[in-house]
Parts: sequence; structure tokens; C-alpha cells
Amino acid sequence: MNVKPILSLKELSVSLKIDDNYVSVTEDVNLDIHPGRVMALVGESGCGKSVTASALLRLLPKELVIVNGEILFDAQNSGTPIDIASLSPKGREIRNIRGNEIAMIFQEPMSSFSPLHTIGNQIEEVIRLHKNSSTNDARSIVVGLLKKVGIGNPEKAVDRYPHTFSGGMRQRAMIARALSCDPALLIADEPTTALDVTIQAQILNVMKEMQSEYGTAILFITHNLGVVAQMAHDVAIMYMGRIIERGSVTEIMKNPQHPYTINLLRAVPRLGDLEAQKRLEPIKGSVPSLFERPDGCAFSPRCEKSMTGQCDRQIPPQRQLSETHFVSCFWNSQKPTEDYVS
Amino acid sequence: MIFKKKKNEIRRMDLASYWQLVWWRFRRHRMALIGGILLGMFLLITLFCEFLSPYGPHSRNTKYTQGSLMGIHFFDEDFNFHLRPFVYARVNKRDPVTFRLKAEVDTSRQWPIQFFVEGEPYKLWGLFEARIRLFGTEEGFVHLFGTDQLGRDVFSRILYATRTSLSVGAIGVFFAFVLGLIMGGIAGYMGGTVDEFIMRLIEFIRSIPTLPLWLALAAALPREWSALKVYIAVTVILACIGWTNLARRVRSRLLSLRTEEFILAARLSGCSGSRIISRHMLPSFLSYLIVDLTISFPYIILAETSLSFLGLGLREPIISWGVLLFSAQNVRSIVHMPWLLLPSLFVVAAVLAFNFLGDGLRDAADPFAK
Amino acid sequence: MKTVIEVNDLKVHFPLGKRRMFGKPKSWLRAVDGVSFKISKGETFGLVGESGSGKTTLGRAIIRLVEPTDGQVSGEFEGVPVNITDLPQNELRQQWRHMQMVFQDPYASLNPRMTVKEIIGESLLANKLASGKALENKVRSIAELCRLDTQQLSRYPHAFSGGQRQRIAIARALVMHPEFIVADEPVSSLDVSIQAQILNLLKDLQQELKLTYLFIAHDLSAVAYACDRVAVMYLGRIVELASTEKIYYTPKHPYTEALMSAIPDLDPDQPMQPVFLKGEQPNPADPPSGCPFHPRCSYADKDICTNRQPEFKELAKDWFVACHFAQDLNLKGSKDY
Repeated sequence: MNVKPILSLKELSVSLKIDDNYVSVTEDVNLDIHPGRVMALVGESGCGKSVTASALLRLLPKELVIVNGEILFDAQNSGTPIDIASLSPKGREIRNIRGNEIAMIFQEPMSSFSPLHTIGNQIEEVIRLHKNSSTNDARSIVVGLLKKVGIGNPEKAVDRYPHTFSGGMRQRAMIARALSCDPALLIADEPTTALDVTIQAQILNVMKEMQSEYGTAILFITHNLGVVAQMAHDVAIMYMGRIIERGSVTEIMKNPQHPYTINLLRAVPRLGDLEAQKRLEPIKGSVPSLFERPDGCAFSPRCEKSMTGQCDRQIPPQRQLSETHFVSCFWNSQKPTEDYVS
Repeated sequence: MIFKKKKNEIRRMDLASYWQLVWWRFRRHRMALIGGILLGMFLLITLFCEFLSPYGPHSRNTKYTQGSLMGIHFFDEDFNFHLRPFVYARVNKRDPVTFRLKAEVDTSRQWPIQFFVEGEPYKLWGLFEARIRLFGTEEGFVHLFGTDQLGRDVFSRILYATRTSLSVGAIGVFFAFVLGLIMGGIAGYMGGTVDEFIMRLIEFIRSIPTLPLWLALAAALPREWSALKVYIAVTVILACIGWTNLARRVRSRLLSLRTEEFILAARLSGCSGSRIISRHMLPSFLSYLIVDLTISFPYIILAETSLSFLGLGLREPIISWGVLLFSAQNVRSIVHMPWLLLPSLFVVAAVLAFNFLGDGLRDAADPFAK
Repeated sequence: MKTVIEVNDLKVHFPLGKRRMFGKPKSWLRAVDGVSFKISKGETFGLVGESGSGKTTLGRAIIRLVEPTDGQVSGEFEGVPVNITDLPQNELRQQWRHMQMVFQDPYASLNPRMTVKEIIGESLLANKLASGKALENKVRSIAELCRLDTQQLSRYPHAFSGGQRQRIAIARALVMHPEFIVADEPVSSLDVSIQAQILNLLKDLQQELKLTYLFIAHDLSAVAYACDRVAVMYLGRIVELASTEKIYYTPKHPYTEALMSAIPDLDPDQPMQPVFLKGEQPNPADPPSGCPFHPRCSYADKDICTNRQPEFKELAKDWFVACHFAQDLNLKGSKDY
């Protein structure tokens, strides 16, 4: 791709600090997010996807430290990116980036609004803080935003308190707040996990519309592969703190090359299975704890393709399969794998 | 590997029972440990105050009335070290201005402190006749914390008072606990109108200002009652007020436990009501109750101290911290004998120790929280 | 097919709001409001619906973990018919041997103060079915059946991962060899790869032990994989009940359509085209008049749907729908699959 990435992670490693010991949480994460595209970061709980997101905004709790790597952020595509990893986590620069240039929406729409202020006030505050607009202007901007994210009767809704909103409406309001400053990058951390399917579909739809209208780049963190297929342009699969495969959504969903990705797709139940009397193919075992990271490829103990003497000794290097498709695995499937999706 | 230790720890955690986890978590609380050790010492005092104190609580030393603190020395005037600690002798001299007898330190003579000496006879726990006391002197006397107007040893009296105050606390907390458990249990288990009634009753009791209530209840005790009767009455009064807090907590824990999934699972397992309560519910809030108990202890102790201090609670010959402080009430005695205020240090130490311990226990009671 | 559970016009209403002292509550939450269906022996009966639809309450009311307000549930275990709703408490405790439950949250459903062995063996002890060596053996064999490591049975639940905990919970439910299991969102708190393990385990156990499941879930693809028949709940009522294929491919109720069309497809070339519902889910304490779904339904008729409550009637064989226009509507199902 010729366009410069808006955000580029270079060998980002985050560790958990216990007394004077360090335990790796993420290792050598490389990721490019391009303007106007949705990058999905996929993995099971504890794989380090949320830690990566918090690291981007320097919102890590104090036990988690960035031990290596760069976070290059270039909102204006100027060619001179800022390294977020080198900024002070409490400094003015990072605060300016947070909310203004990188916005974030969370899984829990309940706890992300203060119950003491109206929805309108809380969004206005963001706008005034970053855009220096007057109270009247801010209010009309908020009404416009609420309308855009599909909240019915936005003139009344601005004056309502968060607890009178349903989960779906709150998530919409959160998207409105995130978009209020026209950020260059939106980080969405499991934004639909707590919602029912019909609401999830609506929220995904709103996000898609907003994305095509504003051209915001989105880092979409989720474990739901269906949502990935529907939302993302690019996909990165994480396992135990490492990105083991990344590529375009078609490459990942239709031609996965890493055994973990293949297994993950096979483990998702779907309707056709019932008629075909197919069984799900679960991945054996479970994700080891951070303190018991296997040597070599972290997935090797659970991997059917694991080769003793190699996979359990060395960390597989990254292979490039196409312009966009990268995989970190010794196993080479030679031929394109069967189509797992359709 | 640098994480070997951490790994072992995790393996050990896997096999640990709930109470082991609680202990490991508690151990990390330094203040709570200190509180625990302090309380352990108080417990020893309570159990063995006859043995630990050099004199009986009522025996008078006419040679040393209103006497000041007596320091224990290892070095004499010439900086010679003595393995056996000693106190300097006291001689009574008449004050040339006031013509009153006053004890003065005589550094030329030393009264060495002996351990396990035969002192005044006493009955340990009212059962065993004994004479052996932890320390004392063969010649002269030792009053670490001085003496009061009548020449009674303040140190010994404080140790005896510790027993009274802590036992009033313990019995009071016990009654409060039983009452709280029953009332809270009924309210939480029966629910509905009964619950409503008990909750309103608790609110009513709590809305009465405590000090006047104590005063009224204590004043209602007949003056001709023996000290022992008063003692029992006072603990009951304290318990009657102290149970409300516990009852509320028991109720709220029962209510929240009732809908816990593992309790539902226990019901489905065919457990009878009593089995659910005894095997599934009680163990899971016992730890919280212990915390609540620890925290309600100091309230009862403080309440007893205040009552006795006002002269409405316990009275001589039963001595508690409050009774001791009662005699330190007027300015003259504080000016002449500031050591009579020493029991208040014990009150503060006990209250702090209970609070520290409670704090640590509260944190440890939920070892699964991160 | 033999019927194991038959539910007839079941209602569960909860008193709502602050009660006046010694008085009757002002309003009622109709969590389950008149539900009827049968579950046949050996089948997996799915129950789907969004949060607040009453599916969990229904599951609990059937086995009387929640007391029904009205209606009947009858069962037939080991060939003996029982009227579950009328059982006195002590007999109900006996009957629970045949009806068990697997809960959603494997962290909350296991007593943290008991070892795995004690948790699994508790029902045998409580019912005095086994003790000592026999108890130990029974616990061990059921743990093996649930693919648990029998070396680890003296550990406490906190030593296990979510998937293993759910296996423990399943072992506990199965130790008395029940016939009917209510599985309330058994996989929704687990990771994808673990979900598959548990779903497969439930299937295997069903075949080995001839179990009948009531499978409650909001994850529609897990239900599609696991269930033979599916009932869709909305505001305390079943709006549609049919075989899984019919429900997913050719729904007849507009709400089922909205649900099914909202499943995100795994194929990025098959963009989903969800049918959006209007507005928000109404307050279950104050359901709309007529058809409870009419305010959000895009096919609703002003007169009929607002005023008349649709009957839950059999449209075709084994296909029940509660919609006035079920016959006339041409609805979309879930995309391909």
C-alpha cells in the first residue's frame, strides 16, 4: 500500500512488572493502520489485544510497562510521526492526542458516562475542551451528532441523563462523543460484546456509516469473527501477546495460513453444521497463563501441525505471503487452504 | 529462570484452601499483623493478669502513696552494667514547705528485680492457689507505673482492668453477635413483613442518641446491686445497642447469597434448608462476620469505658479502664499524678489494634479479589 | 417421541418497585407471561431472545428454582409422570434428581470454599445416595466423562480456567444421572475455542446419557449448532417455535426475522442486511397493548396489531407463531450458511 499508515506499531512489547520481574504481555507487535480503513485486532481473552489498545493511548495501569518498541502516530500524514511510546503518560502532548486525535469507545457503555451530568453536557465538554467553540455552537454540534448516530429525538435526548438510556443508545452516545472531535483514529474495544444481536447490528451499521462519512481509521478489537468479517478491511490475529497472522479480511477469512487462525474459524458454530451433522473442531487445551508461556511458538503445545524440535524451540519468523498477508509459522501449507467460510 | 519462584507460588495457590488463601493475603498486611500481635499480648494479659502483675489490685503500699513511675535500670550511676535489672530505692522524706511525706529516689541503694518471685498469694482464674508472680523485688517494692492516692500499684491495676474491659467487650460482642445473627437471620431468611419490622426496629434503635440512652439505661440499674450484677447488666446493655449493625450485615449478606448461583446449585443438589445454611451459606459469610466482629469490638470497649468514666458503668471493686480513668477525673490528681491517665493509652492501643486487624481481615476475607 | 417436559400457560410475575409497608405491590413485572410448549426426550430445545425477554426466568421456573405464578409444568421421568408445579417442597427436592441446571457463570456457580470433589459429590451426599468409596468412585467416573483431570479433583475451583470450571459444573449437574438439563447460557462467558469444546461435550453427553436439554442462549450461532428446535422469546412470550432450520432460514414472525438477519456472517463477501427494529425494547412491567411487538414491527397493522393480542397457534405441523399476519408475510431468514 502506498498510503502512509496513520498509526504504526513497531515491535511494541508490554510487560507486567511484578516486584523486579517482568512478564511479557505483548511481544514485538507490528501493526499498521491506514487512513480510512478498519483494522480488526482479534484474539481470545488475555491475548493482549486490550493491553495493546491501552498502550496506544498510554492508559496502561502502572504495573504494565512498555519495555520496547515505537508507536508512530501521524494524524496529518505529514511524514513526521510522533512516537507516542516516548511521550510522558501524563504530559500535555498525550492528553492532546487522547480524545482529540485518537478517540476510544469501550465495551461498557454504562460506566463510561458520568451519571451526574446530562449526555449533552458530557459531549459538549469534549468539544469545548478540544475545539474552543462556544456553548451554543457546541450544543448544536451535539444535537447534530446524536442525530447522526441514530438517537431518536436528539433535541430532547441531549438533556437526558445516561441512566435513562438503554445499552444500545448509550453505545450510540459514546460513538457520538468519540466522533465529536473528528478524530483521525477511533479505537473500539469490544464495542458490541455487551449488546444483543439486533442492537449489535445497529451499532455496527452506525459505525460503518460514520466511518465512510468521516473517513476515520478504526482499530476494532473483538473476539467475534462474524463481526470481523462484516466490519474490517484488515485483520490481525493475536495469540499470547503476539500477532501470529495479519492480512486483508478476505485473506484471513478465506485463506488463513496459521493453524491457530484455521482452528479458530473451525471452532465457530454455524447453522449449516446442523444439517451436515458436522462437529465443531475445538482447539485442544486452553490458553496457558502468562507465567507459563511455552518456549518457541506459544501456540505449539495446542497445535496439530507442531513440529517437535522446531516449533517448541524457536519463535517462528514472519513470512510474507502477499503484499498484505503475513504469517508467523514454520508450517507451510503449500497450497491455498480450503475455504473455511463459504 | 527468574520466574521460577512465581511459578511455584501459582502451583501452591492452586491447591490452597480458602483459609490458606486468606492467611496468605492477610500476611501481606503489615499493620494488621501488628494489630494482631498487639491483641495477642492483650489476650495474654487478660488470661494471666494475676501472674503478670507484681501486686494485687487492691493491696496498698502505705510507704509509697501517690508515688511516681519507677524506671527499670541496667546501668547504675557509674555506668556499671548489671545483668539483673534494678530499681533505685525510695526513702520517705518530709517536704520542708508542705510538711508532707514525699518519696525520694535514693540512688545509693538498689532494689534488684527478681523473676518468678513469691509475692502476695492469689487464685489464678479463681481456681488455683499460687504465689509465684512474674517479677517483683525481695527488698523494697517496684511500682512501674507509680501508685494512686491509696498506694495501689497502677501497673497491676491496669493489667486487671485489661481483663475486665476486654471481657466486657468479648461478652458484649458475643451477646450482640448472637442477637444480630438471630435477628438478621430471621429478617434475611423470612423476608416480607418480618424483615420490614426488624429493619424499622433497627432504624429506631439507631436513631436514639447513644450517650443519653446509655445514661438512662445505666441509671435504671439499682444502686444497691452488687458490682458483679452491674457488670453483667452493663454488658447486656452494651449488647442491646451493638447488635443492630451486625443484624443489618447478616441480613444483607443472606439476601445477596440467596440468589448466588452456587446456592441455587446447592438447592438443586437436593440440600435441605439447614444443610444449605450450614454447609454453603455460613462458611461463605463467616469470614465477613469475623471482620464485622473485630470492628464492633472497639465500640463496645469504648462504650464501657465512657460509661464507667462517667461513673455509671462498672464501679469498684471491679476495675476496668473506665473505672481507673474515673479516678483521674479531677485536675488536682492529674497535676499530681499524671500517670493515672496511663490506662487511656491502653484504650487507644486496643481500639487501634482492633481496627488495624479488622482492616486486614476485611481485605483478606475476599482472597479472590484482585 | 416421548415428552419429557410439558409447559402449559406458564406465568411468572415479580412484584415491582418499592413495596408499601405491609401492602400489596403496585405493579408486576411479567417476566414470563403465558408460555406453552413440549420438550421431547433426547432433543435439545433452544430458547433464544434478547436480554430482558424472560428466557432465564422461564428456564428456572420450569424446574421451580423460581416459583411460577400460574400455569402448569409436568414431566415424565423414568416413565413416571410428575406434576412439577404442584409438588410439595420435600418431594420437589427428590425430583431435582431428574432435573438439573448448568449456569451461565462458571465463576459464580461453584462454591469457592469447596473442592471440586466436594462440589460434584454434594448432591450424592445430600440425597444419601452414596458415601465413602462409592461416592469417590461415582465422582471420579462422572469427572472422567466430562473430560476432567481426575488427578486434580482435590483442588479448589480457583485453580481452574473458565472452560474447566464449566466442565465441573456440568459434572455436578450430571452426577445423579438426571434426564433433563436446563443449560442457561452455558458457553456465553467462554472464549471461542473453549465454547466449541463445551458444545461438543454437551452433545457427546447427550448421546451417551440420553439427556434432554433446554438450551438457553443469546448467541444465535451456538443455538443453531446445538439445538433441534428453537423457541424465540420476546417480552415474556414465545413468538415463534419451530425446527432450527425453519426458524433460521424461513422465519414467520417479524421479530425472528430481525434476530436472524442480524447474525454477522463469517464470509466478508456476504454483507449482512439486517432488518432494523424501530425504537427500544419496551419496559416489561408496562408492555404495549395488543401484540407486544407491534410498536417495533415494520409490518404492524394499526388496528389489528395494536388492539388484539395474537394467538400462539400452529401454522404448519410443529410450527407455532404468534402473529396475526404470519401467513401473509414474506420474511428474510439468516443469510445462506
